[in-house]
Formats: sequence, structure tokens, C-alpha cells
Amino acid sequence: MNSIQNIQQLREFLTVYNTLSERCFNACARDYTTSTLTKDEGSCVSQCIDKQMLVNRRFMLVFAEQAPKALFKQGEQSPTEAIKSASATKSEPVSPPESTQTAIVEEKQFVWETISIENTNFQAMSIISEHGFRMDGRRPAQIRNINTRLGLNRNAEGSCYLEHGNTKVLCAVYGPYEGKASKRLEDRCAIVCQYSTTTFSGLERKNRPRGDRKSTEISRLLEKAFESVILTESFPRSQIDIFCEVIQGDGSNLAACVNATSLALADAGIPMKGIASAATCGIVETKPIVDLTSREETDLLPRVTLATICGRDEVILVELQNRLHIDHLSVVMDAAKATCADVYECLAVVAQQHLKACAPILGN
Amino acid sequence: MEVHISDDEKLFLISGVEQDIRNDGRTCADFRTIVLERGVLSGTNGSCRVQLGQTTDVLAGIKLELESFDPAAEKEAKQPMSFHVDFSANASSQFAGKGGDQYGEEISAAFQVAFSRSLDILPNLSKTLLAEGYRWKINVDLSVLQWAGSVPDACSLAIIGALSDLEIPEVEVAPDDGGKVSIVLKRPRTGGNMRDEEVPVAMWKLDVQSCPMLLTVSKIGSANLVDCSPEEECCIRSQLLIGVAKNLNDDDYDITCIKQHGGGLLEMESIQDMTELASKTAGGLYQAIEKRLKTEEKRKPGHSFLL
Repeated sequence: MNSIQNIQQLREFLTVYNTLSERCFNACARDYTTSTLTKDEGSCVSQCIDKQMLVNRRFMLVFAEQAPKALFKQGEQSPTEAIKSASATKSEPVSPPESTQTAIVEEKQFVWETISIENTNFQAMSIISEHGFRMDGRRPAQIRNINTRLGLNRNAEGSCYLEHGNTKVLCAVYGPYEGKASKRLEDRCAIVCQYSTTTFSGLERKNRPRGDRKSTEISRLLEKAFESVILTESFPRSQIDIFCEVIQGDGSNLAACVNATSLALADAGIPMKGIASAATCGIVETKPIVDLTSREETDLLPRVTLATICGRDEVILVELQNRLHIDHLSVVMDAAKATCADVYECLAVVAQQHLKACAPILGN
Repeated sequence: MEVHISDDEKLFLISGVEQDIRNDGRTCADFRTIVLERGVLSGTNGSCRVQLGQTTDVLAGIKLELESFDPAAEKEAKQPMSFHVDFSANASSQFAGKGGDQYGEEISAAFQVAFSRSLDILPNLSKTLLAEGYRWKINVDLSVLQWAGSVPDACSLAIIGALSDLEIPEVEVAPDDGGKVSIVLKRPRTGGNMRDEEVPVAMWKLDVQSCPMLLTVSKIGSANLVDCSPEEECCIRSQLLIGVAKNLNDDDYDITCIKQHGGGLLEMESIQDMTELASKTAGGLYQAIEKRLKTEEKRKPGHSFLL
């Protein structure tokens, strides 16, 4: 990648250089008797270069402003089309002086070529290095470190703090208690979930911690998932509240919430079919990568969040972001299932250790 | 967390505090144990977590933002900090949904007032104004993770902690075309053969010695209390939120705002007594914070704070 870029840069530089020298020669060189520049020619050249450089700089500024927009709203267009269509809108605000037009047109095309080369290799190059490592040094099938602490919230029946690398989630479980009459079910308990993120959790500051479309969607997903894990028939006419707060989000937020919630439910002593575990997986050029970070969660990369019970084949939640090719589906699902099993092992150890630590208090 | 206590328990509590003895053994002017940790979140420009008595737990995170404003529209310079307090549903199920919004907004507004003169109070805050029309906006966001009384007190300690942890990049301002300015991060040359973008950006820190804080002073029976527990909050007749700032010139404490929370009536003399108690407590708190900020160890990157 580096060498391609270098060659591109060199070629670009040479074009600018050659165009400049040819134009200067045609416009300013009048005296062919000496091998050095005369005084007049010298000043003429420096003026020309100044002019050229100013226009060039201005052009690059506008380009830098417009290029990211073109890259991110591709939709149906292929990368090259998107850039070409962007160029149509882009060339309007800048109207360079007539005399420098030709040089600039050439310059422009070269920049497009560089961008389109980068863009086609964009996914594979930036996410997995040529040596097979990801940006944070992990292998494609490696999960981040999981750290947990149970029972740190004294007001809640069960609580859990869980870290997946830099993703930090706090979960509290309240209940089962006699909840609101409007939510009451005669044959089983109602599960109420709330997913919220602190306003400083992401890269950009958010204005609202909850209530936006994304948070509501994740809340409903968690609700549905845990309705099929908790033995809801054991608590008719009651309610269990699950509150997840993402303190710091660095990718795989939903998976971290599922993991934190199942540990918090275990801490609360609520009967379940098993400990649920979840993982987010993506696919880069037919190679699955697991436990994505926020830098890997791009708009281009398809990603699947899968949750299973006890790492077995009982799926309780599947969520897909972006488009995934049908041929890749089985690969991603297999990788996700395997990762869920791995995560389950970690969670099971945590739950067992916590139970052992509680044994003296419980009197056994 | 809703606390229900009986009339007899209330009577016991009230007659206790009138003799300067509280249920947990403190006197009326005592705070619970304070735990203050800084630099807990790597994704923020400054962060702090404060625990009061191991039950009230507040997390503060600061995000900086380069803000452009219209200098003609502002008569006098606006202070660059904005506060937002959010009650996490984790703290109590009564805060689920919009449950905590009202109290959160009330506290945020009180902080906004308490800090309204902060350009005059904090010695180097005016450095956040970069050029005509550009300034650093300091977004201070607080999340209440556990709730057991005295949230404003915990919040103000967390704000001071986070502000002292905040690192603001140094910038170079150069005039540009059309009367605009270009703002570039300042990277001091160290002499090594690093590329320009690898040189770390120079940072500066705020001086928080005199940072305003918001204290709750509550009237229970005839006594004035600071840092109430949830049981004591059930017996409150009237509560004041008092903004106190250290005056660096004469080592005294200025009152920056007073706000009543909840109902109840107060006599003029009581208000006098309560503000006096607030500035007395503030003195102790400023000392304790200063000591803590000096002695606190720098955390390693990747430190996980709740474990």
C-alpha cells in the first residue's frame, strides 16, 4: 500500500512539475543565449509558481472538505461513481483563472485516482494488516479482555460492571416486584429494559443519553432476548427491570449489554435457562473478525450481533447492521457462534467465582 | 431508591440531630467518606468519579469542543462551561425513562448559575477564548450511577476533580483570508526525528483552587445539616443549594448562588446560619480536595475504575 502511494505521489509531483516548467518555458523564456535564467525570467517564474501554488492550495482545501462527504454517502453508487458525481458539485464553487485551467484539470484527475485506489482496498487494508493483525493488535478471531465485577450496586437486586476492552457497561436488575398495573401479565412476569449511554461515551458528545431511535431499538432487542432466557412463568403478575448504562462505548455495545445483563440477572438470583452470552462479528473479504471496536464498526462493514444460551445452538438474538452477502452469512454465523461459546466460558467462570466468594455469607 | 421510615424513627432522627448526633455517628457539619478518582475514562478529555459514603456514586466526563460564536451578540463574555446532570436508571428504578429528568435539569441549572461568574473566579479560564469568535466549549456531563442523598455535593466534587484532570490543547491562532483565523494545534519541536503529526500536542490545565462548588444545607428540626443520607432527606423541612467559591485574594468564601430545593419556609436568620455553615464546610472540603489532587497517583492507561 505504501509503495503504491509513494509511486502515486511521485507521479503526481512530476506531472505538476513538468506542466509548470513547460508553461513557464513557453510563456517567459525569451532569451536562448544563456544557460541560466535572466533577471526578468526569474521574476516571471516565481510569480507564476506563486499563482499556481495558491490556486493549488485552495483547490486542495475545497477537495479536503468535499471528499469525506462523497466517501460516506455512497449508497448504491460504486466508489468511483460517487467521487465523479461529487466532482460535478465540487467544481462549481471554485472557478480558477482561465490561464491555469489545464494544469488544474490534470491535477484533479490524479487526486481522484489516488482516492479511488485507496477506496477499493479501504476495508481490507485498514482493518486487517498484511501480517494478519487488526488495528489494536488482535488476531481476527480474538476477543478483547473481559473484566467484570458483580454486586457493586447496593440498591439493586443484582448488578454487574463489565468491560470488553474499552467498552464499559454498567447493568442493574431490579425485581421481581409488583410492577405497574398496565404492564402486568397474568401468566408470567414482564421484562422492562432500558438501554442508555452516557453523553460522553462515544467519540462525539451526544445531547441525550436515551430516548433516541437507536437506544429504543436496543432496549426492545434486549427485552425480547431476555424474555426467552428468564423463566418468566415462575413470577406471574410481577415485573423485572433491567437497566443498562454504557459508560464508555468502543464497539460491540449491544453484545456487552447482553453479557452484563446475564451476569446481573445471575447476581440477582433470577432463574434462567442458562447464562446468555453475545458477540459482534463482521466480515472483511470472506474473513470473519470478532468483537469489533468502534473504529471497525464502519458503515461499509456488515456486522452481526448474535446471542446464544450457554454457548450452545440456542439463539436468542440476531441483529444485522449494513448489508451482508448471502454467501458470507454462514461464515459469519459460525464465527459468531464460536465467539459466543468463548465469551460464555469467561462469564461462567465469573459467575462461579462470585458464588464461591458468597459461600461463607450464605452459610455453606 | 425510595426510603420509607416511620414517624417514631423520624422523631428519633430529628431529636438526635438537634443534639448534633446523627444516626451514623457524624455531627451535623460532617461529610461521609469521600472517594475521588480522576482519569477514569480514556474516551474523555477529563473525567472523575466521586463516591460519597460508598453509596452515592457520580461519574463526570468532560468533552471539549471548538465552538464558534458571534462576538457581537454577546454583551459580556459568556463562561465556556455547560453542565448536564443525568440520573441513570441504574441508581433507582424511579429514574427510569424520564423519571430523573426534572431533578437533573434542576441541578444542571443550579450549576450553570453557580458557575456563571467563573471567568472572574477561575484565574486562567479566560485562556479558553482563542480568538474573536472562537473558544473551547467545556461540556461537563455528570452521570449519577448510584443514589443515596446529597447528589449536588457529589456532583460538585466530581466537577472539580474532572476540571483539574482536564487537559486543553494549546493552539496557535493565525489570521487567514477574509478576516477569519486558522487554528492549529501547537506541537513543540523536541529535536527528535519524529514526523510532525507524531509530536504530542502541548496541553495546559485549569487552575481549580477556587472552583465554585454547590453544597446542600438542610434544615431538620432546628438543626442545619450537610451531606444528608436518604433517611435524613425524608425528614427535611427545607433545603438550600448554596454555591460557594473560594476567594483567592482574602482567603474567604464567596456565595455565588442560593437556590431552594423542595418546599418549606425559612426565616432570614436561618438563611444566614445556613450560608455560614456552607462556607465553613466548604473550607474543609477545599482543603481535603487540594490535598487529594496533590497526592493522587497518576493512573495507568487502561485502568478499570469500578473493579
